[in-house]
Amino acid sequence: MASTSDTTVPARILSTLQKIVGNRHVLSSRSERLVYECDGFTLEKNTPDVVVFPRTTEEIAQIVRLCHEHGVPVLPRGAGTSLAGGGLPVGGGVLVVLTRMKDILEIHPDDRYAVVEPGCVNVWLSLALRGTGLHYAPDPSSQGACTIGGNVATNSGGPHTLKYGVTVNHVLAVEVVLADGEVVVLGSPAEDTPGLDLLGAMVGSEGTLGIVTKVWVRLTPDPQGYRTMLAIFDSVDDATTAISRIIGAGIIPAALEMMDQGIIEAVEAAFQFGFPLDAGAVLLIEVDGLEAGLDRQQQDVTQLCRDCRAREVRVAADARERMRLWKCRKEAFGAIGRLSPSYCTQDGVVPRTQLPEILRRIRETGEKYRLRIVNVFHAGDGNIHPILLFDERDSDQVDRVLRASHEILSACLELGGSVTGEHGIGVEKIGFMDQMFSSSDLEAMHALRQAFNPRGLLSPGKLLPTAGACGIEQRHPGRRAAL
Amino acid sequence: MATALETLPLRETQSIESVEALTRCLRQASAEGVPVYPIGGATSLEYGMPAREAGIGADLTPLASIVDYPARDLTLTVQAGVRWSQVQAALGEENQELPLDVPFPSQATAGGIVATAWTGPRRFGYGAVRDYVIGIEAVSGRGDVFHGGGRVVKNVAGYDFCKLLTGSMGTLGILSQITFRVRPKPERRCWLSAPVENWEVARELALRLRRAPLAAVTMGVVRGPYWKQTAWSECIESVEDLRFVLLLEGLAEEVAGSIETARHVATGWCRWHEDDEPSLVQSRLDDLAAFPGSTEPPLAIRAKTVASGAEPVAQAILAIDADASLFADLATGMVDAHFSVFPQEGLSATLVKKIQPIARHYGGHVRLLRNASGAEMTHQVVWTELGLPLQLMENVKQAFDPNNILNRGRFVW
Ligand SMILES: Cc1cc2nc3c(=O)[nH]c(=O)nc-3n(C[C@H](O)[C@H](O)[C@H](O)COP(=O)(O)OP(=O)(O)OC[C@H]3O[C@@H](n4cnc5c(N)ncnc54)[C@H](O)[C@@H]3O)c2cc1C
Repeated sequence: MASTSDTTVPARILSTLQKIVGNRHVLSSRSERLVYECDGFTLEKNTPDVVVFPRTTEEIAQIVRLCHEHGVPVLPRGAGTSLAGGGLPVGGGVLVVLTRMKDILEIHPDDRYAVVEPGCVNVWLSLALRGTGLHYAPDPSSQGACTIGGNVATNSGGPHTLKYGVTVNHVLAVEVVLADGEVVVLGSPAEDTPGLDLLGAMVGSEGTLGIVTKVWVRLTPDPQGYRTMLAIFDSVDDATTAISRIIGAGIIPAALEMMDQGIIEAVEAAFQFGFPLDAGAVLLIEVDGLEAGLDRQQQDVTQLCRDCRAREVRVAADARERMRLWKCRKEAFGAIGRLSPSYCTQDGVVPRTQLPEILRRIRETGEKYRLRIVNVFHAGDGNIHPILLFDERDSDQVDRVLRASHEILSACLELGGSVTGEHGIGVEKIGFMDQMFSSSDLEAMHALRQAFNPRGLLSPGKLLPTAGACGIEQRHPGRRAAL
Repeated sequence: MATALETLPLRETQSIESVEALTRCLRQASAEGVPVYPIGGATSLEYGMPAREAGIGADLTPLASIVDYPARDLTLTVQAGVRWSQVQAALGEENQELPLDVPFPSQATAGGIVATAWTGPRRFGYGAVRDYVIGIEAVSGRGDVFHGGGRVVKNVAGYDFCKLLTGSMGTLGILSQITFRVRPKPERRCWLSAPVENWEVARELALRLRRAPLAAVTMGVVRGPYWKQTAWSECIESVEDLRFVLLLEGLAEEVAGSIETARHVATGWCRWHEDDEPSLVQSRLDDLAAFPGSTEPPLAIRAKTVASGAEPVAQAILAIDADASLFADLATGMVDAHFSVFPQEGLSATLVKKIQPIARHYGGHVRLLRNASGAEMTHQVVWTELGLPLQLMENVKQAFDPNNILNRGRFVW
């Protein structure tokens, strides 16, 4: 891997890193490091000073100790699919890429847990579990690429969180390298470990409290059956009313996803599913569980959708048709490429009952900033993903995207929600932290980070506004794409 | 149930009427370095290490309102001092519930349940307390109010104080308000129960049932004299009987289908007795939930391991005390036990030497729930020696409660 080094990291540190992981697993030339200047959030970029690819916990502990001694920032990275810039090397430093630590170490079907390395790609675990009757429930849409370590760090969700919960509900323990290189295990496969739930604090901490080097995950029994439905509505309001009615009737679908007209058009152009192009919104609804209860749930859901003026409710007749319905949801992102050269996927949450209002506001924001915004999202959780279409080469458009995003997220807060349901704060949303939280909330968060990461060398510039309490100005790292 | 005055060295008790009052109380105590003991329904004050230093009791029961209950959003926000039965009653009106079952629900408070992360018999079906807390407000040992989470079911903004504070025994902050995500109530519930020959049969049956498609939310064995005085009495003929119990919950069709499946799985192993009369179903559940909170036994413990550890732990307990009463949750690996007499050899020789190693072997631990003798209340006896990252925990404690006023000396460090 190595070519000529032109990093600013002192030679002594570089050579020690090479000793720890082997020459082949250190990138120090600018051209190689450039690949790691950003993750799935491309609006801001900065190159790491060195990139290392360790294979073991012990190597990571040595790397972190070295950085600790020399005051060098360290940032863990999985697959780099974060959409909030969690993997952006703010302030440079050493980027620790975990993709070589990718093994599934143990599977215990009877006790329903597995042990994996952090670089294990989410879907690999599901594939390895085929035939055991068990699966790993968190299934982010990026599951074919993202790592379980990254999922732990961002507390990922996915289409099935409505019924099955997010990553934190499925992680039993983690092995972590702390900021000074010490290795600890938080939690246990038996759960309820006495003492503080530091595991709960670690999940979703976006790399700022430690580097996760091993994960014990809960395995969930496969449902006996599914009923997958696609309900087509004339208007977004009818679709969101149906969502409220379904939940209100005491039904908790495994998935309840919504696509609006803009997305339907794109999906239709790409895959020809036969959706009516004039439909206002489509709901993908899946109930799962024991076979015995599914027919009634399907009938109830269908009736509730009809009561809310669904134009049509299609039911997948078999596994093939189910896959086809899911395909249109899962491939929706791919289809967006047809609509515009770049897009920005936003992530916000509102109470379910506020969905009609937030979708109306998104529409207005799009009009105001002359941007096309399409929506495909986890409607059952109230987790919106407006997708803002633009051209990265046009700085005026980039600017409008940023302002429109800001307005939409502010609206989420106004409606009692959150600025992120699953992508995290990263660098992208630091500016919102003092709108969501009081200065004493932020002080408490700083205090927690301080307790784990006293010198601030682990993932600096993430999650929390810098320096003390509230109202802090956010440093924008590196250069901004097209600005 | 012992009162606060019997269990805590209180020199005064302050009635907390508002968050401001709590802030004032903690600021002053912090300045003076006086311990503060948060008190909810006073149902679990014996839990943990005994408090040794005289301090102030902070009575949170006046903070008893339901703040917000948008039923369609499936969330509920309450003040910390609200009684659990009141929470369940409010939810019941909308045909919803929190599937967290506790001893003394008409006494226990929401704050106390979250602070102890108390697990009940339906853990297998519905998960733990931490899975239901989506928003939290607390006052730190510095006297500062802070929040985590919010009122939406999905939220990853900032550190997850909901998890950090759940089970923290009030050592980082005194909880003042909590937002829960809630669930629709199941349409039908039914207990299946059957005598089983021995622990090996119980273990094997549990394994088979766990692999079968069932709407099971509780799965375990009750055993011992205690159950004679409960809604389970008719199931217990002799104290040595092992009674396998299985609670099914869900849609009517799911429960009906599960009964069939359970019959099929158990063929040749046992014959189920079926009870679905709603008040009996509930009182049996209440009795299972109440069991670990009972103040009758001289010694009560709770072990938690991976699922396969429950049976060996239960056997180890019975090897020490053949008349012990217990509930062994074979699906989640939790064993609650009452000893019939206080072990003569003492707790180090029994709990620490004989039971804890087995629990540890299965990834778990044993906690002491009640020790009538009051002797040997060491960290190792109360919580099990686990090689916890204590320094890290202390750093976190220091960050939230620098003068160590909150539940001083009662937790794992
Ligand atoms: C098309 C697409 C769809 C997506 N859909 C979803 C979705 O449905 N749900 C969802 O939640 N997210 C989704 N995401 C976002 C992203 O995939 C998730 O956040 C994912 O968990 C990131 O995993 P990763 O391995 O790529 O982590 P990275 O992007 O490499 O890192 C993410 C963060 O985690 C930290 N980190 C990584 N590994 C570790 C470790 N071992 N220890 C400590 N910290 C670590 C990094 O420092 C960074 O802060 C989507 C992204 C894309 C591009």
